[in-house]
This record gives sequence, C-alpha cells and structure tokens, in this order.
Amino acid sequence: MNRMRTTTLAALTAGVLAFTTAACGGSPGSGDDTLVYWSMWEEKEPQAEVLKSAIARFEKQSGTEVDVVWQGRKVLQKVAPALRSGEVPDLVDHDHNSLRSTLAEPGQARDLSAVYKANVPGEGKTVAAVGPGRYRELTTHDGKPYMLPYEVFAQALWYDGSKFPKLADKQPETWDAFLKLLDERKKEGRAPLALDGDIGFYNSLWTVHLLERALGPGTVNKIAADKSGDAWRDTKVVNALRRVEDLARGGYFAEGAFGSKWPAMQERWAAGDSDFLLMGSWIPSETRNSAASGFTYRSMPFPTVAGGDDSVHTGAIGFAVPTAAEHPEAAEKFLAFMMKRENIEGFSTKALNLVPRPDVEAPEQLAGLAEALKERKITPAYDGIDADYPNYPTEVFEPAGNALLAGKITADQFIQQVADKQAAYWKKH
Amino acid sequence: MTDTAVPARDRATATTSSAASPAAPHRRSRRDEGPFQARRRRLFWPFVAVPLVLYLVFFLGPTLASFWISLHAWDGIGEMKFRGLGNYEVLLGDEVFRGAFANTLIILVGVGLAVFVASFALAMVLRELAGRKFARAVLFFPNIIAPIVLSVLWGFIFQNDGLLDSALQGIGISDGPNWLGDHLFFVILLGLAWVNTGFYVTIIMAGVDRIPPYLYEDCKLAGANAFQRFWHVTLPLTWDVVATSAILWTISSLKIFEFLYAFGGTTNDMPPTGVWNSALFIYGQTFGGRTPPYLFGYASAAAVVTLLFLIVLVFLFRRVLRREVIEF
Repeated sequence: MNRMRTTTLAALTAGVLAFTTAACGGSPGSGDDTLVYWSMWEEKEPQAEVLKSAIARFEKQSGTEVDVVWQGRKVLQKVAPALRSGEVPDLVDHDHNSLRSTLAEPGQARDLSAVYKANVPGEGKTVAAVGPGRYRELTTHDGKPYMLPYEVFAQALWYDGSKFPKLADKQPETWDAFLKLLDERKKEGRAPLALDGDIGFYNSLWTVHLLERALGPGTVNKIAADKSGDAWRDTKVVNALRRVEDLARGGYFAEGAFGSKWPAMQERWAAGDSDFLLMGSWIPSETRNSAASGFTYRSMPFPTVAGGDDSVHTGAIGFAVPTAAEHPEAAEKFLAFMMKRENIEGFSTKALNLVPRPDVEAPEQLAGLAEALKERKITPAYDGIDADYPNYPTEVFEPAGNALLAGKITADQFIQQVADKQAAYWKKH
Repeated sequence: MTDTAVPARDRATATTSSAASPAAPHRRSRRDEGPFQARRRRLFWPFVAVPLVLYLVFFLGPTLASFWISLHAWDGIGEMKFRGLGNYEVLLGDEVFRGAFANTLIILVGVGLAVFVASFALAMVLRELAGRKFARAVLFFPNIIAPIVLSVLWGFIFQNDGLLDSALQGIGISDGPNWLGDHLFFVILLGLAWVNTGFYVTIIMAGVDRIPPYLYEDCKLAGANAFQRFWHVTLPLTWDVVATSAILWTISSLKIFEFLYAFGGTTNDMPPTGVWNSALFIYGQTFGGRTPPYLFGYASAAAVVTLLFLIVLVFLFRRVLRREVIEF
C-alpha cells in the first residue's frame, strides 16, 4: 500500500512536470483548414488592428480560419529554432532584411512567384501589377521573390513645414546647397540637425547616404564584401568620407546628439528644438504624441553629390511563407487577398505608413515621400549590408562610424579602423 | 541516508568506527533498520529521480551539447559542419571577443572590489546605526527591481540634460562630461556596483551581526582605530561569509546581462561592442541585433571558454580563500 502510494506520488509529480514543460512547446500546427500566422506586431499596434479586420474578411469569404499569434518584433528569433523542429507557422512577417537573412538565405523561404502572378481577387490585375512588383530589388533573393510587401518605408530629411513654408518649393537639391541651408540656420542660433546618436544605425544613415550619393548605389555593399578590407582605402572612398568628417566638424548636430538615450533627440526635434532629422518614414507616427502644436510633417530627399545618384533608400515590410509550412496554398491565397485595395488601405489611413500600391493615397505627412518613391530609383536601405552580412554593422561599421560622425576621429582613422575590423570579421564568417 | 538516520550523539563514532571495521555495532544493516528508515529509503529514488533527470536534461545535457556544437559551424537550421578547434582559433584572435572578455574581467574585479569595499563600509556604519533595518531594506531595494526598470532610470540620470546634468548645473558646472557618449562603460560599472551592493551588504551584515559586541568594546579600550577593528576583528570573523560571497559574485558577475543589454542598447539594437561582456557577446553572435547572425558554433565556443574560465576561477578562489574557521 505504502509503496504504491509512493510510486503514484512520484509518478504524479513527474507527470505534472512533464506536462508543464510540454505545454511550453505549443505546437503551431492545428486543424487542416487553419492558417497559422506569427506576426511581428503587438496586438495593440495600429498595424495589428488593420490586419485583424482584413483577416476577419478573409475568414468570412474563404472559410479558412487564421490563427494569429502576435509575437512582436522578435518573431523571427522564434521562427529560427522552430525551423529546426519543423513546427513552423504558415505565415510570418517582418522587414525585408530580417526575412532575407533568417529565411531566404538559408533557403527556408517559399518562392512566391506564383503569388505575384496570381490575380488580386475581384480586381482583374495580378499582385505584381498592383504595386509590389516595383519593389523587386528588396523582395527577391537569387531572382526569386521571398516576400510580399504590404508596407514600405523610405528615408528622407524631415522637417516642420509650418516653420519652413518655402522649403517645399525650393528644396536644396545638392549637398552644397544643403550645407548652405544648415549654415544659415546655425547663424540664426539654431541647432540644425537632430540625431539619436546612441543608435548606430541612425548614424550610419548619414555615412551610407554620403558614400552612395558620391559612388553610386551598391557601393557600400561591395566594399563590405571585400575580405581584406582594403576596398576602403580607395581615394574616391576617402574623399566621400571627408564629407562626413566635415559634417561632424561643422557643429551642425544638436547638443546631446551623442549623449542621450533614444528617443530623446527625436522627441526634442518634434518639439521644435532642432530643424532636420534624417530618418525613415515611420517618424511621423512615432513622434506624433510629442510634436509641437501645428507641426506639419514634411520631407525632402537626401541631397545629391556632384549630380550623382538620387535614389530613395527604401525598405519593405511584408509576409513570407516558410518552405516547411503545412498550408502553403492557403497562405498564398491569403497573400493575394491581402493585396486588395480595401485591405492595404488601412496601413496608410490607420497606421500612417506608405504602402506598395501607388493607387492608395499616402497619409498627408508622407505625401512628398510617396511622390519621390514613384519617380526615383529604389536602393535597399543601409545598402542591404545588415541583411547580407549579419553583425557587420554592429562589429565593423558602426563603432568607427559613430566615432566619425561624433567628430572623434578623422576619415582616415575611420578607414584604418574599419578596414582592420572588416578583415577580422571575414575570418570568422 | 543511513548516516542521517543515526542519532546525532552516535554519529561521530558511527562514521569513524564504520570506516575502521565494517562490523561495528553502531552500523545498522538494512535488515534491522526501523520502519521509518525503511520508508525513507524507499522514497529516496522516486523523489531524487525526477530532479536528477531534469538536471541532466536541462543543465548537464545542454552543457555537453554546447561543447559539441562549439566544434562545428552551425546556423541552428541547416546541417552542422565540423570545424574542429577552428572556432576557438578564430575566437582567441577576435578583437570583439577579447574586448568583451576584458570587460567581463573588469566587471568581475573592478565592480567586485567596489561592491565589497562599499558593503563592508556600509556594514560597519550600519552596525552602530539606529534605523539599521530600514537602511538595510533601502540598500537592498535595487535588488528586487527588474534591471530593465533600473536601466531606464539610469538613462534618465545620465543622459544629456538629464538629472545629473541638471544637478551639476545647479552647483554651477554647466560643461559636465558627456556621460553616455564618452564614458558609457564607466557609467555601466557604476550602475552595476550600485545594483549589487545591497545584496552583499545584507549577507555581510548577517556575518557582522554574529560578532559579539564585547570584542569591539575591547578594541576600543585598546585604542584600535576603525581600520584596525576591521582588519583584526571583522574580517577574520566574517571570513567564511566573505569567501562564499566572493564565489557568489564571481559566478553572478560572469552572467550579468540584462542591465548591460537594456542600458547600453535600444529597442532593436545591441549595445555598442565596446561595452559588451562575454554574455552579451554570446547573445550578439546568435539572436542579438536587427538581423541576428545565428553563429551557434562560434557562440558556443565563447560559452565554453567562459565556462572553463569560471571553473578555474572558482577553484582558485576556493583555494586562496580557504582559512581555518574561527570559533567564537
């Protein structure tokens, strides 16, 4: 009797423990007509609201149930180990860089060519034709599309249109004209440039833009791929970097740019403490609560250097289907459905973002940028180095880049540091 | 098991004599053990088995797996490629890792010394203080708050135009240092010392409290100053507490992660490599950053190096700190 009770007790304990640990796993694969979607959004975000109503319409029309898990930005860090076990969601979303490095490069993303060729339900046009086809450079890997974008973001110089009413008609096209504008503002006692310098990526926007404007799109990516790091030592590169050095030495950045915690400086910019902010198109929605009253979001493209490249540095957010997904056909049907105007519209009207369909009107704050996107060439943001060479920005480019922009080192010292670190980087990758 | 079942007064003789001759009368064989002992013995395996299995599966298994993975190049998804000791070779030449490892040592030694000096100083002061229980609670407070919250607070204090700059302006220093831009690692060290002091004050105070007050009175009569009192009374009589605390600190300092990560980094980004410790390095090579690198083999090598270093360190500490326990 005693022995039996003991064994039962032990077995129960083991059972409870086993159950609780097993419950953590949670298998994503459920019923046959259920589509499992792991989202990069948190449930309360405006994008999640837009997705929710689109999903509700899809469920009603197709009879397929969509099981959404609002994972948040670290969703791909959860997908990666799931790929190993095979228990993957049918659908995930993120920006093109993240999807590319986590899914496309290891060959874990389904080729979405069929979706691009499919008709958008009820519209008589293919998915590619309604807009996403234009973003091929961001959404293909080895010539095959690995993602379908539903939001687009682009980088530009942002300012308060109510303070610069004339700037909209007479934007400084060239770098020299831009510097002249900055000098004028400085003379008036203003700190012209805002920057949250604790984020290396934000600092790099300046360096990457100036390099590519002078040397052409794709330059930074090509230099980064050089195993010896010597590609940095080219005189043309040095000359382009001198502009960054001059910018840093010019004292244009607002006080605190290199000694604050994000988002302090962009908040102060929105409150009117400084004039221009080089940033992605998410900035109007990100700063809308701290913007001074009457603040009118306006943007101008990054100026050109010596009549060279004027492309828009762009990124895309969209869906991908893992190759191991259990219901890829249902997922593809959902993707084509999502491209319908009524579904895409919400990302513009409710989430205040740019969308890949040019026939959807951009939010008023982003209208200028939407125009630029229609007219100009598109270059992947950060020249794609963060996706192509993971950790390259953190370990190689940004430590030296931050110091250069903060005026702590010269262009030559930057090159020395980056070239050495790059050689070391390629030894381990 | 059988040992603990022997009545306390017999235990000493039981162990010594049973070692000398197996037939010693105090040693009970299974057959003549009482029903209580028999039941306890039967319960032993069913109850030990579960935690033992969990321990093997969740601790020992992964540790061995890390070592195995460290010999490969692996992205966590595809097939593992054997690299032998290649990962270790690259690792030891990796400037980022060497910097992270150096930072780990600076935290271990620098913050460790600061924490212990501050803890002893506070323990000595608090010993004679009226509201000591309250003071101790206040000192312990940072320990129960999530490091993430503390790091946010720390950011408000040190950022440009933050609380500290305002305070400095209040006393007429308008051109203070750029804390976060130029002295980020120092500020982190300061933060870590602040967060951890309360915990060690509490432990060391418990040790100090056991020292009979008459020893201090005797010191006073002999004219000993504060340092002499500390050196000849407090330190020797709390040595076992200090030794344990030192080991605790060594182990926990190598694992420091959240404060560094949250304070040095932002929503999407790792902190700058200049302030990484080895724990952040391991995260940075796997899941960290905007587009994680998933270098599981390489990161495992870093983890193994850190673990070996920890084992050696703890072993050395235990040798160096071993003293005769003073009875009082």
